[in-house]
Amino acid sequence: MNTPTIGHEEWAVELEARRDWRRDRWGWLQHQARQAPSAALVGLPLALALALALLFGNDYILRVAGTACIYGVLAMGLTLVVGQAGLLDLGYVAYFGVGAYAYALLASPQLGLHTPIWLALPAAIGAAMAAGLLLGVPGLRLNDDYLGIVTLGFGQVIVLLALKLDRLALPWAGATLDLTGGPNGILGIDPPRLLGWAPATQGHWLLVLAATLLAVLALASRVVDAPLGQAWRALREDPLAAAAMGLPVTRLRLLAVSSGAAIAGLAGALFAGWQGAIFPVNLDLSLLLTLYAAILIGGLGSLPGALVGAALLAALPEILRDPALGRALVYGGGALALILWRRWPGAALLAAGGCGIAIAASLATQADVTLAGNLALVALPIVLAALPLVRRPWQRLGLQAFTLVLATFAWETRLAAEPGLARPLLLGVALIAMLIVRPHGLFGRQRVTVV
Amino acid sequence: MSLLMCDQLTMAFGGLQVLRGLSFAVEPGQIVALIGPNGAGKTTALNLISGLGRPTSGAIRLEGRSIAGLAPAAISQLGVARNFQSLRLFLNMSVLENMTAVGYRRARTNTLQAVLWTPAFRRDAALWRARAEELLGLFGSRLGPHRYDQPAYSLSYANRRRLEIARALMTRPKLLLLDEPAAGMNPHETDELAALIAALPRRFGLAILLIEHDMGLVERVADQVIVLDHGAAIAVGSFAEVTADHQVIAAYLGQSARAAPDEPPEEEAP
Repeated sequence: MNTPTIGHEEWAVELEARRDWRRDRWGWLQHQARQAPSAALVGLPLALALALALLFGNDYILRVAGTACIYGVLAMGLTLVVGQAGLLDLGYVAYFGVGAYAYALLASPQLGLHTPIWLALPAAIGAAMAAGLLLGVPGLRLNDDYLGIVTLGFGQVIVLLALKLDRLALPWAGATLDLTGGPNGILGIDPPRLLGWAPATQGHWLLVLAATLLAVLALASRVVDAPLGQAWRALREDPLAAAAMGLPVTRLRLLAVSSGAAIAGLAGALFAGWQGAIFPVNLDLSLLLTLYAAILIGGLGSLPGALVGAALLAALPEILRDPALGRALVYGGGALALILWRRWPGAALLAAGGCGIAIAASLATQADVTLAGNLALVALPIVLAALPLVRRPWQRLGLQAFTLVLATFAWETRLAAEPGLARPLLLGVALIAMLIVRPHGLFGRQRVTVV
Repeated sequence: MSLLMCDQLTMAFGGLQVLRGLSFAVEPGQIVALIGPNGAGKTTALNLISGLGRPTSGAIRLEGRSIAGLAPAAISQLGVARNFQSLRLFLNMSVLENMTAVGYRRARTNTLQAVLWTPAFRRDAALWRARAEELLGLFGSRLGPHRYDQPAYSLSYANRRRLEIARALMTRPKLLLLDEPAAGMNPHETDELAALIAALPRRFGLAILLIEHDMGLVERVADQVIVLDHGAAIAVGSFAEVTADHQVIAAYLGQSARAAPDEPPEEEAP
């Protein structure tokens, strides 16, 4: 009864795909990424990086790589909950904390317990899952922003508990119990000992963390492809339609939250064992923001994206710590961004760059440029905000050049000298630029929403 | 025993009485059309049957079992599937995934088997895919293999309606609820859809409860037509019978039409 017909929309989709490919380099990379299996895509560079770190790395580099692994495990769990199941979970770090503290209590002098790893690790994961369910059940009827608010509060409650449970009153004993060590945390946590072997050096630890990362990646990518993953995405897209098609919405939501919590709990336990100590500061809001930045940069819902985002966010602050490396990154990255963006003529780039370096160099020889640098820092956002308002080509070009000069000057005089200020600022700028240029992240897919 | 039995169904949203004692039955293998002017309560009736609301009073029985107030997922598991008048596809998933996503808990294998990639899971997944392809094949090349990996949002309006019907069939329903399946389709596409709907009960052993404003489609497929007005059935019978009914003509065309009962039925569709 049907004859082959080609609808107009098919043509449109193909056009969109072709444009995506041509428009930017990431489009090409993404096209390649779609063809390759995600495990191979991430596994290969990951293995290479690990081999390099293990062969040539000193303890510092190994520690950064280890942090990247912990971030990676956490980001994968978070992207399952937020990206796949569509639940805005802002209390995610709490599960990390519960896992870490549970492991610390079971394997440290704090309570005098030294539980073997095959018992302590599942217990820590179980505790994190229980915390997830505890929050998941009352949060079942909440969606989107409301769920976000409740989970954010929950996360802070866990931090408060970690801070305050150093004087837990035991009325029957007439004494207080120091459970969490308060702000001083729990120290002397046992490393995981399995079959008589425990990681002793940073190299050993990196192997343990990387093995965990790969295991979680394998598991998570199988789950994403399984009917469960499809059901999660259906839930994210339209909970009502999912329910009408017979999908158990409540169960799926709880499964998503507790799976994420289990992964976070595992990361927490390993982190505690690795550091040998756990403090309330480790459950800081900044960790939550880092993880969200990682999954947004990588592309919401994408496991390779979560790993790449986590690696970037673990490595970038360390690179920016070194002024020389930071300078190379800023100028190199800035030039690359302007070339890729193509909207600002190359002439402006050259002129501004030249001017900026000349001015900065001449000023840097003088006594005190702090005040001028501060003024430039204040002026920069104003100029940036004014940029889209200017329409005439020559005025536009002039203002663009002036912006670049100002940015260079501010960087050279103030920020390069204060990495503590420059690091978060640059990360913030990079994140904003990323979300403007590529809102669906490096490995994400463009999504549509119908309101 | 009737497949579906609605008895004295009433539904009130605050002071607004949407359904006032609606009673009807759907027999196995039958296609029943629910028609009536806008606001008559057709979609509300469908929502109650599929569990998206709890009736204020009255009973809904599926094969003799009361389903009023059950959760939508539970009703779906009992064999009721539906589409949505306002299209509720999983937009950012591919066409094929829209179909197979229904498989969670309906498939014979669980997530652990899926993670371990066992032979049983692979067989099961192949079965589900084959079923999805078979159902998409109902629409010929319109939802053909070249569209399987396209995201649902890239489909045309008519193709989205087709995909919703195919997705509903994925749940192996005994009763299929169709809410204006032909909305937004041109006459040729509507013809095609009518032929498909008419063939569904025999092919899949199901009954259909249909809401439709296209009277040509209703005339072609419906074994029985129920006319709703202000939340109550004002006429039940074959298409020819109800379109000859004075009350029906009055409901569609207003009270003054009572004076002219010879109005041709073609003009009754709003």
